[in-house]
Amino acid sequence: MEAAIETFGARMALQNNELRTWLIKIFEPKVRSTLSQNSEYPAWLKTTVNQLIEFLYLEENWDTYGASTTDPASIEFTVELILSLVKQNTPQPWVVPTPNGRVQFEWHTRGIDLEIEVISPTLVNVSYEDSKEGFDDWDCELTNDFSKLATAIRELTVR
Amino acid sequence: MTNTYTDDPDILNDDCLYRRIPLKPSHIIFDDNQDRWRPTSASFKDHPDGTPMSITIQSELEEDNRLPENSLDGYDDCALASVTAGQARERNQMVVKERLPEEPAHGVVVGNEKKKGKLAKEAVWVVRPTEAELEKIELERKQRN
Repeated sequence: MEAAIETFGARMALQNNELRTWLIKIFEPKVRSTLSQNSEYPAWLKTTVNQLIEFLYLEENWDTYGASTTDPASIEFTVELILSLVKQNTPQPWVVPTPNGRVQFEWHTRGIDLEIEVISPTLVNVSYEDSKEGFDDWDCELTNDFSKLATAIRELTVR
Repeated sequence: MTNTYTDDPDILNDDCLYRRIPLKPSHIIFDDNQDRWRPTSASFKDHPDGTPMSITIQSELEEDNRLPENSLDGYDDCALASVTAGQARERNQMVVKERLPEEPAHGVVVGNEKKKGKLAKEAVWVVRPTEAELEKIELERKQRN
């Protein structure tokens, strides 16, 4: 993780010192300390964080329909949320940028379609669809209380 | 925003609506539940300025003797996905022609953005990513360390 962040920071230093400062000051220590404190995080976490960092390289109109660049704060929120919710055996999510500069992570596996768009640390859009009998589909905006989302990820993890 | 639009009945339910999908690991996903590669729902969202999602309309392309693939003219490194107007309407979306000087077949899909994103699950490829491009996407996903 540290090496990846350093590499990224070195690349960005040529382009944007402000962003590099932000990465080193906020992002890198947070991820590194969390990872070192808890060895139960999944093996894919490092890859996923690096995928998120790559989104910072997207230029305006990356989707050919006028998309905005990805907001670094959105990546920070997303990493925080992932770290707080996933377990060692949670499947690897797909992480994708959204046209409005945010980040979405999603799973389409084990009969579950779970999509999470992180808008802010206290506002997350969630869509849950489950093909298994007895499980209801739901869409909602979660604010502060993410227990419903935690339950969904737990189901995804144990199934 | 939606108050200024009216669904166009001249666009029939079986009319195809085309959407460009960038050939990047972050825009095309493998759906285990459907056992296929498809666009992410993030590819079916409104414009950041709040205007509705752009598409090109099959019948409008045909009127100009153009092919679906012409939706990619001037855009390198994109695949092309399609849903029908009927599928959009089933998601309570309006389908509206909105001709542009640079794209006479341009239209918009107007309605709740969350429901719009679910169209990605039903989207089919018109110009499919090559196997080599999909392998590259999978490799980058697994090995980006």
